[in-house]
Amino acid sequence: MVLTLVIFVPLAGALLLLCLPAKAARWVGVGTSLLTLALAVVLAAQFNWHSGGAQFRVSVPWIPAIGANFTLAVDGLALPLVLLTTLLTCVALLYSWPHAERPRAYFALFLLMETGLNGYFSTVDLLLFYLFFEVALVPMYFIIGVWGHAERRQEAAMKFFLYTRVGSLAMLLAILALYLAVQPHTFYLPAIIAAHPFPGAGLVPSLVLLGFFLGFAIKLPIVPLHSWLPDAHTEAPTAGSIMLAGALLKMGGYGFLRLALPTVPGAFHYWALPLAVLAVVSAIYGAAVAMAQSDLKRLVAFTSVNHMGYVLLGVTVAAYAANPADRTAGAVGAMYQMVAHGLVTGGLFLAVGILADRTGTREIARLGGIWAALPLYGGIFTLLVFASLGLPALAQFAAEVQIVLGAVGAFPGIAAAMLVAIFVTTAMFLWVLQRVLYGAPPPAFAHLPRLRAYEIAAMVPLVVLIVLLGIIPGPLTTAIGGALHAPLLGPLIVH
Amino acid sequence: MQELQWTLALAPELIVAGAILLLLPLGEILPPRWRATTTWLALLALALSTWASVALSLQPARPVFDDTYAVDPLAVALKLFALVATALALLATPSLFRDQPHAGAVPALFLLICLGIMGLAASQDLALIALFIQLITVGSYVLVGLAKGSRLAMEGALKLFLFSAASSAVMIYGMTLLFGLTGTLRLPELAQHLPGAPAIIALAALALVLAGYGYKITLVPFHFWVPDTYQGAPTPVAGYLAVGPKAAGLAVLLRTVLVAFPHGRDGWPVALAVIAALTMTLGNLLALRQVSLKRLLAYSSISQAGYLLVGIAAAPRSNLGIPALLLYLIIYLFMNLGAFLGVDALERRVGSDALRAVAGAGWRAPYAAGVLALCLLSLAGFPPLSGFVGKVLLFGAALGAGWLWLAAIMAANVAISLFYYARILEALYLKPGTTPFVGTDPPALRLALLVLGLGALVTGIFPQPFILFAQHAATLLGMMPMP
Repeated sequence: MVLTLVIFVPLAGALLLLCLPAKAARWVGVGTSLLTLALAVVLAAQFNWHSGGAQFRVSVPWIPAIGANFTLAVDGLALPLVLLTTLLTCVALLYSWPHAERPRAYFALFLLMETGLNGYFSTVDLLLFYLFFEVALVPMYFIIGVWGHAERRQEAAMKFFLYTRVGSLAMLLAILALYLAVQPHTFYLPAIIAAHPFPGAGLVPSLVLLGFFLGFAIKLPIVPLHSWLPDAHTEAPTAGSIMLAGALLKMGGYGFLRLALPTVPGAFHYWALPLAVLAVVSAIYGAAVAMAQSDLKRLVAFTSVNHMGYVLLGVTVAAYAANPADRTAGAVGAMYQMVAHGLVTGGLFLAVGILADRTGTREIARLGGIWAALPLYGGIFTLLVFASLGLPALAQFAAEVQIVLGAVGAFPGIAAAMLVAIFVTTAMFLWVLQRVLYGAPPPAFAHLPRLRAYEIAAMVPLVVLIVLLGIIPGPLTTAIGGALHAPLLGPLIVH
Repeated sequence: MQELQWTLALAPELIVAGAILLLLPLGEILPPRWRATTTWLALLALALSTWASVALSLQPARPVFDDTYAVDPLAVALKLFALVATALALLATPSLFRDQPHAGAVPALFLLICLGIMGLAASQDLALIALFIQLITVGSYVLVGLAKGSRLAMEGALKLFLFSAASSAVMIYGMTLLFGLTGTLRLPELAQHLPGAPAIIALAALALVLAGYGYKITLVPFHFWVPDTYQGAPTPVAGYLAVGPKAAGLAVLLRTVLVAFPHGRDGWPVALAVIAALTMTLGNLLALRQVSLKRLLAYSSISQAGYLLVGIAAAPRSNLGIPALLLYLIIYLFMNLGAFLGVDALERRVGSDALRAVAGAGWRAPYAAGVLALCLLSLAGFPPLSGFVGKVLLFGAALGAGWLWLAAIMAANVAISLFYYARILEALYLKPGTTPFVGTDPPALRLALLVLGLGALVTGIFPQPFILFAQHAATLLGMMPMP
């Protein structure tokens, strides 16, 4: 029941917004997102973190004529992402309080997207899974296109829309192939996994994998399917970038783990090496191109390409490694990386937005001396950057270490290449810190307004969680590991 | 006694026919301020006919009038489809044609087309089929050309007429060939006699007949009249033509190939699949660069015809085929007519159907633009809107028939189509508008938009009853059992 509410309370809020006068929009918008977060926390409190298996199962007939049911359940893979989504929606909407023009449509679209994301992460029916995938996609098109920054926002919105759509249609064909391969036809994921329709690595399983790959690699994104991302992230309003980087990209990685890995394990194993190479190329490319950016927001956008490369690497390790411990490490690392990246990069986009609001620019060349001008901001920004480059005791370190450990067992050469990527990222970020924060502030920045309460309120939960996940990785790792070995969804990691 | 029963089985058609005979003179006799009542009388006739159709659906399937006319679930479903589509399109017309010459005749003309659709979907005889196709054409021709002063309307009506004449001639030639080969015009008897005839001639005859059907379904290469006619026609008429006659053409094609050509199942399904792929691809590619909303929707409806044809092509190989076709037709009625009427509402406010003219409409005419956006997203296949469920079933039919290539081409087309649908969304919501919006939407049009928008949404969120209905209606009289 609570799980259903977590999905549909935002939708109810969105519908309510359309009936209310614009004055009430901010209160209803932020209030709904806070309520949803509270519900998600209640869910987390009732969740058995130790087992990590699928819980809170709800199943109602939806389209029995074609074997599709409204089936929900969350496990250790899904719940962290639901929590991440609800938290980031709160953060994004809180930050938007004074910024949102046309507030009714603005808040309604964010809440609709939250419904899509929460639904996507909590369903085990493939048709519903696809449905929520698209429900999360459409609002973002409008958010970028209507509330985006510059002249190029329409182009960026269209690019985002078309790219994601191509991927999602490929994924739909893959889903239908699974549906038709099982007798009786069903969209129920555990039944499909149990029937194991595509064990080998022949043509059809490889095509199914290709369909999933197109869907999820575009979303993640992986080079060379990434070119929508820098434009979309750069042109989106700050709150949109937070959601895009923090939550929407995770749909790709989650899809790989939830759908592709258990349904076509043979084909995934067969193609794991090329995919791992692609993942590492993506990671190095993302870091190198980020270094060349002059726009701070675009730079952060490219670091997502880098970090999502690690996620795909972790997934391929889970598909390929001979040793179950390595497989577990890869999958757990990929999941952990997604949660950590959501917090860190969500925070980074928020930080860039806060800075741009004050200085009126995102050009790195025109920034400088920010730490002296805004000491608190400088501290937070430094922490976020260190978290993003994978400093120990911060969230992403715990993730990347597991991915590297898994990769060393599976593909040692590629693990070495990943270290290069981490090294490039580190160099890139340190250079950013040096250019943006250090030095004496230019005269124009001498009297920048301090951080406001709503900005701090948006930032604090992210920072706290980044530190907590860095120093206490145990509970989340256990829950993810439990989900990977749980029987209901078919163990992802077969011993 | 038998004749009486046969006549009773025609009750829905007879009610509509009676209304036409009543309304045609009445529209001209009534003083101008009473002319709107013809619309309400037409709606009343449609309601009565709907009631009769529902009553008919409870009876067993049977042929009437010596096997020439079918009373089966498919025919009844198409009757209901025609009645609902006609009623919704009619709601948009009184406000549009007010104070124009011949305004009183408009409802009767809509009913004439409706009668043609109802008859076509039930005909099992090639002569009847030719007759009802002509009936639809006559009504369409007059409705498109009603605005005598407009050059575009004249051009549209002329194109419709010329293409109709040419394709009907070819079709009737094909029917003559079939008659020459078998000595019968009735579809069930054709199925018995055709296996003895030379296969190549039978196939050629089918291809010729397909020209006439393809014209109504707007299949490539019989689609050339569509953009000009839709652009010239009053927008509700264009929307109605894009929905009603197309459905009738698909129904008669389905009946013809399944009832008369069961032995050709190695040949025509693949041929239809190829035509479907061509139709959706060409329609989509040509839609990409349109700047007139009506032309854009015209090309979009051509590509939708390609998707719909997939259902017929896959019918012999996948039991999802016919239900997918029928479900998609129901959905298509809501979303496509909704899109056309949405454009109609905007066009009346800004005085143009140019993409540029409707910029910013999402914020200034939120009601009509909202329904239009909803219908466009549905046409593009976004869940939870109904176009998605329809496409899932069509994809399933194509994959179930073993045609991965067709499913892939269809997926590519759905992706391409997003580009031009999103261009409309971009104009509605993303672009700042400059054109002034005048007046408000007429209440009847708003009602039609509400029904269509809700229809596009509800059939997507709760498709189960509609799928059951489509599965029920997938029963044709005299259909050979599927493998």
